[in-house]
Amino acid sequence: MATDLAMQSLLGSADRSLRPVLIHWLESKELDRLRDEQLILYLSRAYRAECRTKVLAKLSADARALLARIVRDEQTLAAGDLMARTAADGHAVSPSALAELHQRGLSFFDDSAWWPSATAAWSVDHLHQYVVAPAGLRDEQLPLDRKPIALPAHTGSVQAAGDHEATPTASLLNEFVHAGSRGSLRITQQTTLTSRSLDVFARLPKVDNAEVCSPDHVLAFALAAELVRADSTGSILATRKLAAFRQKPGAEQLDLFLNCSAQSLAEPAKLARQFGFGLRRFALETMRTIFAHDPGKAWLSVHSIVGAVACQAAPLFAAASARHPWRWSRSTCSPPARRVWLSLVTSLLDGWFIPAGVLEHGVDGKQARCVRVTPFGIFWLTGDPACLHGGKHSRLVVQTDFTAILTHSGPWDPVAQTLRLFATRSGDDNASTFIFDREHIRQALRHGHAVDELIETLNRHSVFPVPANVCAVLRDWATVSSPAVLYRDVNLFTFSSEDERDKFAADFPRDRVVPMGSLHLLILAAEHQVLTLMQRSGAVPVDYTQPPVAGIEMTADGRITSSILHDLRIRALVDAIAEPVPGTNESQFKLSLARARSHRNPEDILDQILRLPGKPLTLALKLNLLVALGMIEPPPSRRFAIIDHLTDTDRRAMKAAVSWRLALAAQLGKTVYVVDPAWTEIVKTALAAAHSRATLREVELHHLPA
Amino acid sequence: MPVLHHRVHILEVTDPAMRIHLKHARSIRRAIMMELDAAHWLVHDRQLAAVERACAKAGIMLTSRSHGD
Repeated sequence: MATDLAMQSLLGSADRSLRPVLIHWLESKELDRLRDEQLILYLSRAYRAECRTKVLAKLSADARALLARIVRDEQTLAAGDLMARTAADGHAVSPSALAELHQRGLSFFDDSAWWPSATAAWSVDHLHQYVVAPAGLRDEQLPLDRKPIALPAHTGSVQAAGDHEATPTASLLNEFVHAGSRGSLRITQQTTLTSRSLDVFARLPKVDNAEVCSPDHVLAFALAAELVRADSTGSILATRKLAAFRQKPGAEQLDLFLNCSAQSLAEPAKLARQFGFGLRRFALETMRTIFAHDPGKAWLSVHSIVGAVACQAAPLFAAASARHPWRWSRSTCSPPARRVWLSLVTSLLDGWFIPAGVLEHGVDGKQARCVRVTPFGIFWLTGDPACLHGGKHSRLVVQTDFTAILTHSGPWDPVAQTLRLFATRSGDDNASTFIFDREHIRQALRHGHAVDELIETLNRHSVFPVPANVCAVLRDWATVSSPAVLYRDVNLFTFSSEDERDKFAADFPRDRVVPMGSLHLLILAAEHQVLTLMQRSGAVPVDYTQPPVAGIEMTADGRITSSILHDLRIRALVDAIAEPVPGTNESQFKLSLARARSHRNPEDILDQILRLPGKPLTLALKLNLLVALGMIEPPPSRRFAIIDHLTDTDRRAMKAAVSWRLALAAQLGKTVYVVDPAWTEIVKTALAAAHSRATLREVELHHLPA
Repeated sequence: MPVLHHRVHILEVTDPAMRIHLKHARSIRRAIMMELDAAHWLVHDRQLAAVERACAKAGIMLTSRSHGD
């Protein structure tokens, strides 16, 4: 669609008589006026409905369909694509139809050098030109209707191959929506899914060369439909639209996906250049028109489909035979060969229609390939939901253990779709089990669903009354609790006194600071502001993205010190096993059995202490820790046997000789083991018998404080 | 002298009942490095995913905030 000024400029610059064009719009006496005046009158008439109706009444049906495509398409397309899309809708569009639009002043090539004439030849270059129409035609409501392309049904018996109920695209889309909701997908800078994200789809059945079954294809759809968005780190985040999308039945979800996929079909650039339009998209749309005509139980031969597609494309390359000043009388281009169409149609069947679940395929008695529209295909082609399977025979039973069993649901059952939002589904369409839990209920609520929606579905479809406890607990799970906040990568200041902390906090807006305890203050400010604050206040920085710069020191009498007690990681470890020595202002600590043994995960504490940097603890001190943490009990003699430098071979020999698990009290390193006192002599004998080079020595436990 | 703890992770749970409920989870107990006060827990960076999972399992709406927010 061009502006009036652009149209006036285009028509004014044409170096040929426009009388045959303007005669359809102007009175005879107006044709004697200056050309500019005629053009202004013509463009103003295009806004008048009665003038348009008069001109359009004489237009042929195919030219009218082409004009509808030109006027209705929002994006500007080249003539080749416009004509191909019209032809794919079942119309016999030829260069004559486009010439007719020129002659009646309804649309023109945007360069007058390409306009039709008796001497000009129709070529592929014409298909690459853009077509413009007067702005006044925008008001004309021309329908974009499909004209059926009828094919004879295949006679004879056809053996169906494969299972049309198993739709890999539907499974992929379903898994993508789940993974997108969970936030477990990430993308690379090239807007493709990372290899770890692709692992999510690893368990789905693979379909070779199926473009429609590619996770990246689904990602492109989800991004285009704004179901998800990617943040700056490449994480895929669900949007509000995803909740509404999840609520739709699976058939409608797949319908939206397929329509988007058909719009963004990959085109071989070489073919598009050679023939002037997207052949793949043309073939897909033409096949859609073919299947939409009387879709049912009839099988169609692939060869007849190829013939129909080739036949539909042929007029695009044929010029009119009669000479006319506003027609192309010859053509220099030829249509694609049949083998090109055969290749395109076969690749679309195997890579798009069949994996999408629109068609099922089979072979006849002569091993010729045939296809037939599936129930979902009928829905996609006609929009009639009545053809979808499911719902009629399904039975739902809700049990008191928060599970629901749904039988004979079918892939598009709305009850299964609703339950899946609130529960974990297992099983198949014959019998599915839905397990409700708090996590799924909360997730559904976060996506904009309501628990009433679930309970209403259960009540309406359950064969037996829904147990009262199930309804009560489902509502309880759906009640909103006070939210928790996770402050990530934040900066926390610690002060020596509460007054100092409050004085420091007084300089900040109240929403930017969070006091914690009596000495801590969380500052929510940008990094550079925090660093400025640190310099101004002379604070000691501790970077928690790096390991601690020092460890802890222990003495034989149980005293514990550290040079970096202000590091909260060290302080937490020290607090876990020791208590401050009175009068030292919490600068010195003493091992405390009461505190160490109150810890529920002593292994974690020991592991963290042994991994600290700094001077390694002696064996005796490590034993002290083991005893303090309650991991071993000290013998009356307070002496432990330690095996050191035990190799793998020795260990295998020991395992064969003694009950190794019972003989060992603890392990203090890769080759260092503490022997249970009752097993010391047995282990000693076994070591000697195995001729092991490992050393067995006795270590005396330090006296531990009470 | 003040100390700046740079890039720490803190979990804030204001509801006392929810705190008790959360502490029953072993993953939460392992994740807590230190309790700054009753409602604020310093969390190990390696355990953040476990904290998020535990909160989701307990049905707690967990919102994340960072230094610049």
